[in-house]
Amino acid sequence: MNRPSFDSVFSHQDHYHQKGGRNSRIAQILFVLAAISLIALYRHQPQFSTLGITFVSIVLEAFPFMLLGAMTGGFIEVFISRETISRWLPEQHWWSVLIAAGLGVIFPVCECAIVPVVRRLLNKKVPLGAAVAFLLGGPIVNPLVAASTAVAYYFDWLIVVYRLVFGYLIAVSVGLCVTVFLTDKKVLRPNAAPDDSVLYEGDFQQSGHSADLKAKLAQAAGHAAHDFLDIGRFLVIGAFVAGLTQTLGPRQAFAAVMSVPFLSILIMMVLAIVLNLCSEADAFVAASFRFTPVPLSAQLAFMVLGPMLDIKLLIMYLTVFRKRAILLLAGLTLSMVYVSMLMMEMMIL
Amino acid sequence: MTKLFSLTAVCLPAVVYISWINAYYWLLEGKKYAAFMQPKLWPLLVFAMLLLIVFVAAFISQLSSKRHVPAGSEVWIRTAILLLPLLFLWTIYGQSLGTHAYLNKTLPFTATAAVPDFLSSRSKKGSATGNELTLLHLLKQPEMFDGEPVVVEGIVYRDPRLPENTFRLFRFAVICCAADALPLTLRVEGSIPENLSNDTWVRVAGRFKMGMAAGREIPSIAANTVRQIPMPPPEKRYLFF
Repeated sequence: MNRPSFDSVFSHQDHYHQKGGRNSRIAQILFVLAAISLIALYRHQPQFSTLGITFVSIVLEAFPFMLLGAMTGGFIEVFISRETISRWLPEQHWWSVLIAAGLGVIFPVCECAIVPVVRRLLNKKVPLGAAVAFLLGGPIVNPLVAASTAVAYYFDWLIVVYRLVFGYLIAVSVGLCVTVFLTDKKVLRPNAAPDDSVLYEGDFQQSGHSADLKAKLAQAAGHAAHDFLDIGRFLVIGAFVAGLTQTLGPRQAFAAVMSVPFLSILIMMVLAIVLNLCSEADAFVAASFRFTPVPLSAQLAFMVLGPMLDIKLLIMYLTVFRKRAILLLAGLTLSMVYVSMLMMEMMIL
Repeated sequence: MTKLFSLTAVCLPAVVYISWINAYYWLLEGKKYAAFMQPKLWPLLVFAMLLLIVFVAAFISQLSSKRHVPAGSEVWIRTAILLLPLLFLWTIYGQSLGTHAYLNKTLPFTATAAVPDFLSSRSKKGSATGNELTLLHLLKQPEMFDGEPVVVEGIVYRDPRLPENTFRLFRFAVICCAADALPLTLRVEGSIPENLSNDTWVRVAGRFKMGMAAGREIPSIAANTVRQIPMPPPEKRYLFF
């Protein structure tokens, strides 16, 4: 089966997509106006302090990782050919999903960095299922997350194993579902391919082995800079929504049902989505629920889901996937995390 | 006029990169970043600054070779969104998480609980604010200080459910950034100034003790003195794990 290239699939722009682009622009303008109005009207309120500090601190911490992801994406674009990618992750083979979900082990990226990398990988014809598996598994199945979880849980290696294994299995399952049931056209957003090819059109034609390293590095930096501008704004919007949710949603509202496993798993999943913590930091927050009525399965649900799905990630996914596909991916991931943690609670713990 | 407009639009990416480079420099100067994130993570900011400098160089190289992505209204919106955190940064610097955040982040069963077990193994005595005793030390090793005279600083929360001569003293402890700040708190009872209001910074001197209530350990200080102190500078308001 020969898959059409990412950019050729999405070069088609119909009226619907132009309208979608216009709506998106209007939404973004309204977002900026609303945020500026908040500063003008509420900057002396205590709620504004909570919102502002949470928002700014998420962005300050996430941007370096986002920049790293953009730079990695730039290097992939320039230094790795489609043929190489096809050799590593062949489209016809379902096992490319198995490999992709575990790629974080040798290629550790956190969730802030992963979206630009995946976008570039898709541009290089990485199979969709494998790209989704890497998107979900990469920020969990990696040595940095394993180390931070081990430290947070005082070197309780079983918890580290649970987290990584469940993260991997869920990423593989979602990736396989995408491979079997979905197509690029149904999942990928129109114009999701990076629109910066114009920058190096001439160079690409003569690139490959002839272009010297310096020129290639400049190209990689150019692509990275473009990705940062393109995806960074969604990170900002996501961080703002996360700050708003942390400011307006008191955690005490959940406290009464925290000791009931099937509810506490759900609540910790909601917290994972809302808090938008870095995958290297979330284990410390999860560990703060040790010796409380919150069961381990719920703590694991928090640690497995957070790096796969949180507000800022959902908004960043908009740069790659269609809205319906995001809903589908989110639904699949949420249900798999919930069911697996519930089964774990009943059968293992 | 249209030409000037489109020329400005072409330069907007550089405005974003340079503004962020300046912001990172400003944060690194005088360790202002500690008002938002774990001080140990400062290399991340340096790293981000370096990458942004690389982006500026790439931008100049594109501009000089007259290759750039055509700029439409989209580029103005991107720029506005990417500069928004900086606007917040300069508005918010100096403000801090207070009672509102404390109430939002506290769960009933963690409200007075000791610091989670994983932390006691991680850091030795000492804190970002120096070597003075902090809430983190007290709650990390409560058994070590039980019955001992202590002096600690923190923020006041007058919990309406507590008796009049009692309040909660709290501070936020940060793992990575202020978004994951955990409230650390204990009860203070004894001679308390009448006009003590929420969000006031105080220094409490008294005897630390671990009591039991409703089956839970409740750390508290029987205060001899509670003195109002000036709010510390923004970079010294959090405790760091």
